[in-house]
Amino acid sequence: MTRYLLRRLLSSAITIAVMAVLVFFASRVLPGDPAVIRAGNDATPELIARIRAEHGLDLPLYEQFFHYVGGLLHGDLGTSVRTGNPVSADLLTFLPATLELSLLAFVVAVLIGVTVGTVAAARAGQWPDAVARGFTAVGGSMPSFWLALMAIFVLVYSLGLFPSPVGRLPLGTSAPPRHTGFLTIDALIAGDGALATSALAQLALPALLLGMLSSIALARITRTAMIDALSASHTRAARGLNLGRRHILLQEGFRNALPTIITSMGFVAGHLIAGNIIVEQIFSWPGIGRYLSTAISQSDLDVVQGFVIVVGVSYVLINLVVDLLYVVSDPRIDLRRAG
Amino acid sequence: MTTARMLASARPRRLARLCGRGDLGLRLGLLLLAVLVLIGLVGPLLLPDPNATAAGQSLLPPGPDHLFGTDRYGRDLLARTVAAIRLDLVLGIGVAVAAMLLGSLLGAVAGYLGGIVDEVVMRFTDALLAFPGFVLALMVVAFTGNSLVFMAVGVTIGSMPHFIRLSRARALSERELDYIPASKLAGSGSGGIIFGHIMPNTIGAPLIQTTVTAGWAILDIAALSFLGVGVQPPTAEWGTMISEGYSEILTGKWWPAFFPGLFMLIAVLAFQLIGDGLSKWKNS
Repeated sequence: MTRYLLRRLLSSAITIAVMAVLVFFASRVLPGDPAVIRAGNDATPELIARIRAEHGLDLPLYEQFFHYVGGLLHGDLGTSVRTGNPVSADLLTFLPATLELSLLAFVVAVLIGVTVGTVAAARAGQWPDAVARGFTAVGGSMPSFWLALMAIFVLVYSLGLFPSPVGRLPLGTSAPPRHTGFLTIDALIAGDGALATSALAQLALPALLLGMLSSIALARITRTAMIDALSASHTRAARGLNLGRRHILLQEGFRNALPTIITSMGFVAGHLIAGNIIVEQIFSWPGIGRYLSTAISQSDLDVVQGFVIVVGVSYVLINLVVDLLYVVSDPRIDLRRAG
Repeated sequence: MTTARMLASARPRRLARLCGRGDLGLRLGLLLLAVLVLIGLVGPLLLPDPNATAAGQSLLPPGPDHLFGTDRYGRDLLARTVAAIRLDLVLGIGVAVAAMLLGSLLGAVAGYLGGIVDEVVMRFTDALLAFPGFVLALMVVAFTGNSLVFMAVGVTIGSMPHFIRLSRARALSERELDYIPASKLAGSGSGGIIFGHIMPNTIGAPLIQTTVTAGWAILDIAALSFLGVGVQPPTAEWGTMISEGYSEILTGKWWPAFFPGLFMLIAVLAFQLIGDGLSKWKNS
């Protein structure tokens, strides 16, 4: 296990290093001059030259590269032009809002994905399966921002089931003292039950939407893995031994499908990250996704670079954890033989 | 040779049978796509100019004069939604084909040559896979400035890694087959083998993946436009139109965002169904 762990850590580290190089070259070598983009529409040559000097863009490429790598190793992701803060500090400020939303969405995604996939597999070829396949086909083709807008129209504007999409708290409400950065929890710590409820109400619709959209891949993979497990010979043996529906579905089916299901959590994380950028924009959610889209519209390039690196690193780490969980969840995997 | 010829003649018949009565999803997908293409080709000839504004006709609900209603500037939403079919389908298919060609070539070269080339290409692919495709596209557009071409390039790069992996895996098994050394003996170089043997024989799976990718590309392109970095207004494009309809939703006017999104859903669903149907056919 230790050897496997070390090898996976090493390969993750290499991926992250290649990624950082890729991002650097994307920002410098792609045909777009960062100084010109930063200077905006009414750029004078003097302004462009000043921006170049300020950001070290007039140095030779290899020197810029060493500055960049040196900065990264110190956790320096550059400075946001818009807020004037270090990008890393800004990301830390906005991260809890994104995490609170993403964690709830993740729970929703796992609940929907695993349930839909399991039910479809247990009733393969029958109507619940057809409904499930319709759900994944339409869900997988759904433009997330369109679904969000339509949900706002029907559920917020017409039926009034959810509060207006104005961010983490209703307008005119002030946030509880910051402990965890999760408003629902901070409000409970402050002993303000009403505030926690309204924070949860703001959170509900974006989390439901994000979770539903991220559940599609999981539902598909769960269905396939469950069908495979339920048609395997050990399941036939269990049926022959008359071990009961419950045992067959959970022990023979779900337990054997579990490693595959866990592996697909990486997909869910990918969807959450991409979906976050859109959903935060629509629900005025002050997380890192919204920080990024604002930065892009204002050509705040250090922010883009920092965001991409942070997201890339977390994605690599999530996949590392998923791989390790896969090994743990399947006792048949013999790491000594795998090398 | 005879087997190859049998396969060549059997496959289209099997495909025809599948389209005829077999897979419902594939038939539905092909039908939806055909209808969309037809509307996209003929529609703009019959409908008013998608960019014609009309004072006093702002935000009319769907009705007999304007089937899909009008937007803030009094533009006919049916004309705009239909005009966008050409742009979105061409962009989506173009991006998917470009990603397939580049990705399969890289994958075939890496798989066939092996060694250091393989190592470099796969490290590069792993690094690309460390981002969701959409984030990758967003990064490229942000660094190159707003332009249609670079948005397409960004989405292409974001869609490439799957093709690289897919065709590398096939190339790895293909190069072990006996005819490859035979071809080498007959004097073929690496280039000849990659283009003449490896790519033609491994392109099946990537081709099927291309249809699904076209759908995803349409979603990514529209999402970029929605964030304001892809196609710029006043061009009629589904994502841009939905973005323009965003502020209208909050005042209860649903139609400016609804219709372009519905068309986009149909287009992506069509590609998805075709892709699923084709891969079922290939595995049958």
